[in-house]
Amino acid sequence: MTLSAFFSILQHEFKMEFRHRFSSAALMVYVAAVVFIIYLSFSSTEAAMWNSLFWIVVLFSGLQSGTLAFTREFGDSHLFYYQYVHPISLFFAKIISVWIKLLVLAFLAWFVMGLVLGDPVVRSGLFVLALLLGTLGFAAIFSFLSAIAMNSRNNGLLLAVLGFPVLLPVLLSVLRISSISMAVINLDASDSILTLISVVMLVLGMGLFLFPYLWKN
Amino acid sequence: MNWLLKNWYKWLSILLLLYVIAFGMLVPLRPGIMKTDTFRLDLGTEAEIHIQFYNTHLRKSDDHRIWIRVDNDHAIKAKSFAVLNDVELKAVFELPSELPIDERVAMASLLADNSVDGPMVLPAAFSLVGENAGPGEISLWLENPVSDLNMRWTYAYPWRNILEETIRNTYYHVPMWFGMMLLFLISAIYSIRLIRSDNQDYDSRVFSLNLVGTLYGLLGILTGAIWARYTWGAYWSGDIKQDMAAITLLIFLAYFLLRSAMDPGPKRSRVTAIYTLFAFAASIPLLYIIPRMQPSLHPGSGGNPGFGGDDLDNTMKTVFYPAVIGWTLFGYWLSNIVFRLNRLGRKTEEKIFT
Repeated sequence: MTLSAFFSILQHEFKMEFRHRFSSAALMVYVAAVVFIIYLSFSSTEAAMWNSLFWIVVLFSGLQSGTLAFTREFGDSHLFYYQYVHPISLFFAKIISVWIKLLVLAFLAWFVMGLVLGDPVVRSGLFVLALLLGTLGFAAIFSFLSAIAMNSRNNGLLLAVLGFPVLLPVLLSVLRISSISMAVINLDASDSILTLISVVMLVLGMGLFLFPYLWKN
Repeated sequence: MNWLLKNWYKWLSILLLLYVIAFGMLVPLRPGIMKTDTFRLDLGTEAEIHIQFYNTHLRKSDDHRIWIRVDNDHAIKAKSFAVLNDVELKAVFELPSELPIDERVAMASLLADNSVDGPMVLPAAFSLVGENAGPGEISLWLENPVSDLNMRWTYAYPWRNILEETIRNTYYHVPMWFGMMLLFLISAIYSIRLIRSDNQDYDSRVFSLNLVGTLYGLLGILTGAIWARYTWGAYWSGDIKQDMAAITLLIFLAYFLLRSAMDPGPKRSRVTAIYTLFAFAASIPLLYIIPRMQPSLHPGSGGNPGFGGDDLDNTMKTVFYPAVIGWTLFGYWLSNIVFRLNRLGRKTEEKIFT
């Protein structure tokens, strides 16, 4: 794994993203539209409900952008990657690019939800930490499972079926941390943060260990 | 004789499971106190209490002694009693007007003893309510201390209130989870061997172990739900352990979806083996980390007793350990049959198409 390979793939990813501006713009509009639907149907929310709705929005937009991680490559580009770069740098680049996209979407969702429904976050630093770690976990799981689902027919549905149960540990601990940041529950956050970090590390580690074998296909 | 030796684990699992089913179902529970008709007792009055027992032979013995016990030293013995039938009894207590401790209200347990059934206890059976805070009249509480109990060992399972006969579920529910974890562990090991060697036999192994492991998991959830109906009050009470176990099963059910969504071949076996490893790793936080962060009704968490203690005494261990070994071997046997069937199917297909 070389750093330059990693950066050139990352650069390539963002070029692709720029070339397919439409899909990123569509995702952003998707997030805004979902938040607006929530606003129109709930009109006002408690902090606890705000929290769950927010993470559901992030989860589904993550599913949408995660589907694109490997399935957008077409033709023989897999073969090209396989010959020229180490799978781990490829996997890292994919995760980082999905992570950055997810972060943008999550901050957008936070902004729009705060605008129309009010912002219940009391400890912003903790909430931002939850966002960073949670989206990293989502990105790792979705990138890895997208590489698995790529091998089968109708991979969009399969990714959702494979992804949601695996996501739950990350989602549950992230929900806990962000409800602490909104003072919904009064607890020390350090335990939950440690749990979240260890779950994300476990997923990342398994991904890094297994991806080279998966990529050989 | 060779044939017997070759299939030793099959015979062993059949023998162990027959033993587990027979002894697990036939050995009785130890006698115990089910319930009383009153909870609140006013101090300074005479109280007549109707007591219901379980598995006792009250008419066979005439040396009944019944106490209301506040703590280790202080107890009141029943003044008189009348045996109604083998499992019912009426006792009359003359309650002193003051408690032996410096409180107005105290919890007390009910203790009964006779030479046929042995000692029995109902913890937190009464709330004693007095007008004045004690301590006074301590001598009345010390007159008839709890002593000379007919302690002895009988081959019977422990009596636990609320659990009652459902304590036998230990021989089915717990070994199912042990067996499931072991089968998934072996399947993870075969997955690693598969991605290193591409041997297609390992794919059949992973498939069969995952299938039987998921079956065990489903049975574990089912036996747990039935048990929960009688102890927690509902089949599903949204307990964190129930939810996480269900999610773990969903992860492994997705394995079969993934497998059926791909065409057979080395590519499929590789991808599904990688998913199996991923699923195994993901199930560890679900089963062992997240449930510890939240309160749970499940034995072994949230201050509830788990293994050891009164829920798994030595009598139960004589059946519980054989049950764990028997069910695990039986699961391995099942997975072996599925494995051979799957391998045969693949080989037949290869023969037809070449």
